[in-house]
Amino acid sequence: MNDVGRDVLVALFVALVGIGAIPVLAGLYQYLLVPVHAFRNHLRAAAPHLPRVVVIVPAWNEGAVLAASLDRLMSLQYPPDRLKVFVVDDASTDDTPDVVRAKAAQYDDRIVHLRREQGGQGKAHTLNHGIRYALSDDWMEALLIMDADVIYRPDSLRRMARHLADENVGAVTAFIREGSGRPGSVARFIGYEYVTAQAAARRAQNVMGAMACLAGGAQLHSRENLEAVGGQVDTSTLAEDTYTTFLTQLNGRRVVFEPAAVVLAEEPDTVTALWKQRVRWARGNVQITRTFSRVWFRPSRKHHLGNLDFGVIWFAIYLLPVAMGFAAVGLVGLYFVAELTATQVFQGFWWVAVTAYVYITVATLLLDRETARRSWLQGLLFPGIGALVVMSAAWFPNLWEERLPGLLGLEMSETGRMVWTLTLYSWSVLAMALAWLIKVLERIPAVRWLATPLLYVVGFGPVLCAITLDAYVKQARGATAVWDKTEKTGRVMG
Amino acid sequence: MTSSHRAGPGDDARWWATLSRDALEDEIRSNRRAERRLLVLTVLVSLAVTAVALLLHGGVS
Repeated sequence: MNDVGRDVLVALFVALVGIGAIPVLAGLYQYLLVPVHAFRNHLRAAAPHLPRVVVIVPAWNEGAVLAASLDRLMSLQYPPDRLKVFVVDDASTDDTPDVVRAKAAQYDDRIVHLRREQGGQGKAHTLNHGIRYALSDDWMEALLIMDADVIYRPDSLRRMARHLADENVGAVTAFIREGSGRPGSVARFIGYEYVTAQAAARRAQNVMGAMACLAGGAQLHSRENLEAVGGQVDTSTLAEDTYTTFLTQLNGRRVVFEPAAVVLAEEPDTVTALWKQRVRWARGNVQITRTFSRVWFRPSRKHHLGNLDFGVIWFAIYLLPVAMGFAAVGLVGLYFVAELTATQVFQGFWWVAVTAYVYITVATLLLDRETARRSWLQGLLFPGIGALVVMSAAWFPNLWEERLPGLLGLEMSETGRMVWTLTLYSWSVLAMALAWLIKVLERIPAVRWLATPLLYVVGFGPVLCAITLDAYVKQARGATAVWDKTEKTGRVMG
Repeated sequence: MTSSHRAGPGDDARWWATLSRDALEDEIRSNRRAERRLLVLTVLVSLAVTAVALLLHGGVS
């Protein structure tokens, strides 16, 4: 190969690594916006406001969790004559109807049982059944969409409602905190992830003036907004909550995140259950990205969804598995054409990653101390023990090749060095492959115990990347899009 | 109870739960202050820890 060809290859591989760094920089940018929320938030425009609220609870075989949720709703610190609950029973085959009827009698018919005789069409259809009923008279001034298994803190609804005093606001969402009574490793990882994806990211989105998604279990809409988006939620995608969020903003109304309104939810505690749930979410995001293809990177006076920073963050998350793949290909390619450059680029890439890791981890643990108490270990190990080893190798050259073996009087062979270096360079892709292995291990009783240790080695971030990649493959293949309910036990603390 | 008659822990929450206009306005003001305190503390500590980590390392070699 001549020098020019080699230089072109080097430039190409360096560019690939640079693309791989974009999601890290986008994440860092988002976290740098979080403190701006201290001074730029919607609380200045909020005012005492207690509209007549209808709560829609979609329920399919939710007998185990429904009673606790309804009791909590009835004990919300909200005027009782301004709150009604419609449980939309999607042709449940368990004791859901009995539970709802018992609660309706207990609470003087402030709880209403709406039964769909033909169910199984998914959450969006179930919600629409309730929304049609709620819109059929003019009692309702705001609509709260929630999940049957979430628990609202007593002050949460009124803290959401105060933002609707501003007529420019169409919808408000709350902070969903993982609140399983006995969380395992996966649930604890999710708890930490929710702080990054909600408490941090949605504060940043408040600052940007563009919200990516109203949490499915906590979305409060003004009646005007609900009517403006067509009086129903979308049934054509797997992400009806994101669809409504986008429509609201495209119509010129704001969507606000209220971090002081806290809702507790039980989340999956196996990688298999997580995989099922997140593949649905990721496929929904593919559909949203395509459906709203004319929105991206086209600034508008009416909304901020087309702003550059919001678009970069959206696509940085959307294309994260691809970016990780590019980074690995770039580093491995460089290793074979320019080994010294590979070392420098590797150190530079992971130096950025270490800086982002330290800042983001500390900020996340401080943002929500309740979650930090439960999930500090999962926060520290979120990128995985493997990635922490890679980071240490980037920060302290020769630590693993010379210094540590030297302490034991050992020396790494040339072949060993090559295998080790290529493993470090391609770790972002290897971790995604190992994430898939965790799901396989969970299905084999004899080796199931290996799944949890491997999860800590791989890290939760790479697991999410692998799930996203799987979702893209399924979407590209046109796999059947079904709304698959995540099983819950009803063990939520609080 | 009014905002000027609160002393013990939990008094704020009980006062806000009365849902009077004064109480709800007080809750908004209090939440704004808490948000400011939380985020300023968060950014200062996070930046400090990150700076210490970078200083200990001494930059890219």
